[in-house]
Amino acid sequence: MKRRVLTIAAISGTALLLAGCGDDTDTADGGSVPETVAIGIRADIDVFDPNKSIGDIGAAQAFALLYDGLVRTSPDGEITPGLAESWDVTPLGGTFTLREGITCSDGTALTASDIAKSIEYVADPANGSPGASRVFGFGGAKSITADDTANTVTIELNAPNNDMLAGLTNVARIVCPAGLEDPEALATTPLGTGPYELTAQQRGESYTFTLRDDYVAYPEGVTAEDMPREVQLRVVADDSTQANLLTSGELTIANLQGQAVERVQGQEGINEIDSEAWGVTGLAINHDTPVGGNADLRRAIALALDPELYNKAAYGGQAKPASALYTSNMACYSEEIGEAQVRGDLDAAAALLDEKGFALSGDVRTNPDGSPLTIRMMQLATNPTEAEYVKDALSQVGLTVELQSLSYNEALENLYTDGWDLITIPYQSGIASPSLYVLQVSGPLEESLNFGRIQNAAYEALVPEALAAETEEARCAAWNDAQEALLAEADLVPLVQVVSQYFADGLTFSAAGKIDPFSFKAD
Amino acid sequence: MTQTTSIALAALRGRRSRRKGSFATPTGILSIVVTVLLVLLAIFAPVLWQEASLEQDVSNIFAPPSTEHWVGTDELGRDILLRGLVATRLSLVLAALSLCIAVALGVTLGLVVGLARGRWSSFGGGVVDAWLGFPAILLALVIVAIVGPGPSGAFLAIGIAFSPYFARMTMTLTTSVSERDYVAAARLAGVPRRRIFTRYIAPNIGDSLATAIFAGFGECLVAVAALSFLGLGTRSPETDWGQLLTEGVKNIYTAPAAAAFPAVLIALAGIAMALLGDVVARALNPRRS
Amino acid sequence: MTTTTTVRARGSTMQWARFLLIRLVRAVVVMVVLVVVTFAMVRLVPGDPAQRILGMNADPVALAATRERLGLDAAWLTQFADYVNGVLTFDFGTSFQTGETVSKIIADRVWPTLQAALLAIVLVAVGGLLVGLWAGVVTERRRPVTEATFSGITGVIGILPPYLLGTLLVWLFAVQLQWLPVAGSGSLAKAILPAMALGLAPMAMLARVVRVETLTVLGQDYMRLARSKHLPGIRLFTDHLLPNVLGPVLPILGALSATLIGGSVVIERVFARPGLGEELAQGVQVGDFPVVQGLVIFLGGVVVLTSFIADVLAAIIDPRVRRAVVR
Repeated sequence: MKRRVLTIAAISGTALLLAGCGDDTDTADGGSVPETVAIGIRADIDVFDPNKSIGDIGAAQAFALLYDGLVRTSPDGEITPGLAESWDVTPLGGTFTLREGITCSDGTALTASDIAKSIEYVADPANGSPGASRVFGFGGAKSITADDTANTVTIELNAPNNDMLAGLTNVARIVCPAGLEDPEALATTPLGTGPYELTAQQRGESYTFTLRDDYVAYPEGVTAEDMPREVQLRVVADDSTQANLLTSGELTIANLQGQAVERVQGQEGINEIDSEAWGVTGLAINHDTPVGGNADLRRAIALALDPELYNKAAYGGQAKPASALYTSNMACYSEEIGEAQVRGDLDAAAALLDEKGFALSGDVRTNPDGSPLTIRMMQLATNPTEAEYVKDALSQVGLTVELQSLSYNEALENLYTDGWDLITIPYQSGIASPSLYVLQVSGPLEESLNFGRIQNAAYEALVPEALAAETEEARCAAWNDAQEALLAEADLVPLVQVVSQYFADGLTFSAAGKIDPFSFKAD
Repeated sequence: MTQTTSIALAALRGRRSRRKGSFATPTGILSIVVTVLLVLLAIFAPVLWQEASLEQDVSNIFAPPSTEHWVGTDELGRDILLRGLVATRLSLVLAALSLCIAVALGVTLGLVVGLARGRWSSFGGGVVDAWLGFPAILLALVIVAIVGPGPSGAFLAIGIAFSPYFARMTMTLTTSVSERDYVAAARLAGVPRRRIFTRYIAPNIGDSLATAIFAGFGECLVAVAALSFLGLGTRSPETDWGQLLTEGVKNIYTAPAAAAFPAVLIALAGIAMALLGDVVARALNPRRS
Repeated sequence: MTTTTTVRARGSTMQWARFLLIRLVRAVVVMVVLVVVTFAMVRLVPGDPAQRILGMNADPVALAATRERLGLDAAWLTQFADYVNGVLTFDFGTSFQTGETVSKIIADRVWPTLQAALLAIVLVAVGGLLVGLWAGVVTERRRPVTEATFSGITGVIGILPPYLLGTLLVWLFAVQLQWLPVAGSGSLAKAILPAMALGLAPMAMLARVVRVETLTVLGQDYMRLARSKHLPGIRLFTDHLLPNVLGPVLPILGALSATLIGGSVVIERVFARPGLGEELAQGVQVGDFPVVQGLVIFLGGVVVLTSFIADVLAAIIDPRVRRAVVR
C-alpha cells in the first residue's frame, strides 16, 4: 500500500500530508480573530489517521489542527518548538526534551514513552507510513527511546540524515496511545495532540474543530485568546461555488484555482494569501522506453518546453515558472542554476535533433534509423491542458506526441509500466529541502517512487554525501551538484512551482501547503 | 436523469394528440434547415477547421468574445467557436450511436413482448415497466463502471439506459394496434402473422415511433453531455459539446459566452430533431394530419 | 396499505389483491436484477477484483485478505450467496477509500439527496399541474402565440442540462439577488435551488402533458354539457376537469419522481451537497466498487419503492389504472 499511497499524493499534486507544518508568528495586536473561521477545502478528508492518509489538502489541513509534531516550521523556514521545547541533533539522530503538561484530546496525559511509541509506529516499515524516509533517512531508524523521568525522546538513525528535523515538522505527527492501538477507529475518529479537536462532522460536507482548553503547546507569543474558538472545514469541490460562498460570507477563507481567482482578486476586504509549493511540477520521462532512454531526445524536449508558456497554458499564469529543481523557498536554492538552463528555445531544440540524426521528413521527425518516432504522453483528465501544451510545443520541433487520455486511477496503474514516455507530475512535498526529490528520482522501482526509472550515478553518489554533511555550505554544495547532474541529463524537466491561492475575508494568516492554525490575525 | 422524461412521457402516453398542420409548416421547414446545417457541419467542420481549432495561443487565454474570436478563447487560447463547430461531428455521432443502441434494443424487445400474447406479454411488460422506472443515469453509471469511462462507455451506457423507453412505447403501440377491430378481423380471416405485421402494425406504429426517436436524439445529446460533466464521458483532446459546456460552466461567471455557446448548440440540435420528428411522422402517416 | 377502505365490493377486493401482488412481484424482480447486476459488475471488469478494489500497488497480504473477504477463491455460487446475505443485512462492505462501512456512508448522506428530491417532487406535482391546467384553459381557444410561447419555454427548460440550469439559478437567486444560499445542505432554504434545478425540467414536461390532457377533457361532451348548465367555474374545475386530468397524469408523475432521484447524481456537485449522487459519481470515477454496489442497490430500492407507492396512489384515485393492470 505504501507505494500507492505515495503515488496518489505524487500525481495529485497534493503531497500535502507532508506539507509544511504550523509555524509560529507573533500574533499582531490588531482586532480580535473571529470566533469561527470557515475554510473551504476542495476534496473531502479521506481518513483521520495521519499515518494512513493519502494526503489530500483537506486531510492535511485537518491534521494541522488535530495533531502536533515534535517541532514546527516558521514561515521563514526556521524550525521552532512543537511538543518538544528543545533538542540536540546530529546527522545521526537527536534527543528531544518535551514540554510539560502535554495532553491528548481525550484528556489523558501524554508521557515521553507514549510519544516515542507514536514515532516508532511511523518508523516501523511494516506500517508503511508514507513519509518515514523523510524523517529517518534512507537507512531507517536504529532506535527510538524515551526517558519518562527526564521527559526526553531520543531517535537514533542507521545512516546520516541532516533533514530529520525538517521531516519531523510534518511527518510523525503524534497520535495518542488509544489511537495507535486501534488504527481502524482512528481512521474515522481522530485522537491527537494538536490545538483543536473534532467536535462535529457532516461527512462530505463540513467538519467543525473546537479549540482545546487543556492545550499547552502554543508557539511563543501565541495564547488561546489569539486563536479562533472554532475552525470549520467545508468541502466544496467546485471553484465557482467556493468563490460564491466567500462572496456571500459563508466562507471566511476560500482556496481557489483558475478563473474563479479573477472574480475575487482585488475585491474590497478580501486578502490574498499565496502558498508556494516546495519543489516543482515537471515533466517525468520514462527512461525504460526507447524515447525516454535517449538522452539527446530528453535534452531536446527540455530545450523545447517553455516554463512561462506552460504556466499560462496549464495554470492560467497563476503558478511560477521554474527551470531548476529547487524553488526559492527551499534550502540550497540557487538562482544561477535556474538561469543557466536554456528553455523554450525551439531553434536550439530543432538543431540538436538535426545534429543527432532525428531527421525531418515532411513536418515530422523520425528516429536516426528511419523508423517512425512517436512519443506517448499521459494526459490526466483532471488537467488536460498540461499535456496539450507539451504536445503543441513538441510538434513545433517536429516531434509527434500521442496523448493517452487517462483517468486518475488509470494513470496510477500505468505509471509503473512501460506504457508511457512522458507525464507531468508534481515533485513536491512537505519539506523545504532538496532531499524531497530523492525518492522520486533514484533507486530501484521496488523500493522507491522512481517511476521515471532514472539511473543517474552521479546523483546517487551525491545524495548520501549531502545528507551527511556537517555544515550548511558542504550540504548545499553537494545538493546543487546533485541537481546539476539531473538537469544535465535532462532526467526530468522542471516546469512550474505551483502556487496555492487563498482568499480570506477580513483576516490574514500564513500558509505553506496549508493554513497555519496559529497564524490567524484580524485584518 | 430528468431529461429522459420527455421520451418517458411519449412512451407512457403511447399516443399523441396533434393539431392539424400541413407538411410544410414554418417549424417543419426551420427544423429541416437546421438539421441539414448541422449535418453539413458534422461532415465538413472537422475537415475545414480541425487544425485551426487546435491552434494554441497561450498569450491570449480566456479572451472575451471579439471580432477575431466570436465566442472568445479557452484556457489554451483556442478559439471556442471553432472548437464547438468541429465538435459537432463527435457530438452528433455519439448521440446517434446511443440512440441506435437504444432504438435497436428497445424496439426489438417491445415488438417481441407486444406481439407475444398472454402471460409472457404481461410478464415482459412488467419487467420493461420496472426497468423504465429506473433512473437512466443510475443505469448508465453502472455500465460506465463496467466498461470504463470514455466515449465508447458513454454511448453504450446511454444507449442501454434509454432502451426501455422505446421498448415501452413499441409495446403500447403494438398492443393497441393489434387490438383494433380490423386487425382482429384480419386475424380471424386467417391473414398470416407476418402480413398482419407489415400490413397493419408497422405502418400504424411507425409515425409515433419516429416522433419518439427524433425526440430521443436530443435526450441522448444531453445525457452524453451529463456523463462528460461527471468526468465519465469524452475526454480531451476529443471534444464534444458536453465537454465544452462543462469547461464553460466552470468559468461561467467570468466568461458566460463560453458556456452559452455549446448550450445553445445542444438545445438547437435537440429541438430541431424533435420538430423534425413531427415532420417525419406526418410524412409517414399523412392520414393523421 | 389500507386498501379495504376504498373497496366497495368483494370483486374489487380480489382485484386489489391481484393488483398489489402483480406490482410487488415486479418490484422484487427489479431488486433481484439489481443484485445480480451489481454482483456481476465487479467480476465483469477485467482483472482481479481485489486488485481493482485495492489499487495497482496493493501489497500481497492485503490482496489475499481482500480476496478472502470477498470470498473470491470460493465457488461462484457461494460468493453470490454471501453477497445476497450481505445485501439482505444491509452490509455492503467498506469503502476502500475511506474505510467507512457503506451503510454508514448511506446513512450519513441520504438526507441531502432525499430532501432535495422530495422538494423537487412537490415542485413538479404542484407546478406542473397548475401551469399545465392554466395553459390548457388559456389555449383552449386557438391562441397560436401563447401556445408557441408555452411550447418554446417548456421545451427549452426541458432540454437544459440540470447542471447548467443549476448554475444559472445560483447566479440569479444566490449571487445576484442574494435571496437564497449559494450551496450546502441542512436547512430547507439550501434545498430550494437544488430542488428547482432538479425539478424544473420535469415540471415543464409535466405541464405539457397536463395541458394536452386538459384540452382533451375540455373537448369532451360531458364538459360541454356541464358548461352549458352554467355550473360555477370552481365546481366545473373540481368536479369535472381536475379528476379527469389527474387520472392519466398521476402515473407519469410517479415515473418522474423516480427519475428525480437519478437526477441528483448530476446536481449535487454544483451545490456542494454531500449526497448519495455525488458519492456515487465519485465511486464510479475512482472505482470504489463496494460504494458503487451499495449505492446502486440502495437508490434502486428507493426508486422501486417510489414507483410502487405512485402506482398504488394512482390506482386509488383512478380505478381504471388498477383494472388495466389486473386485466
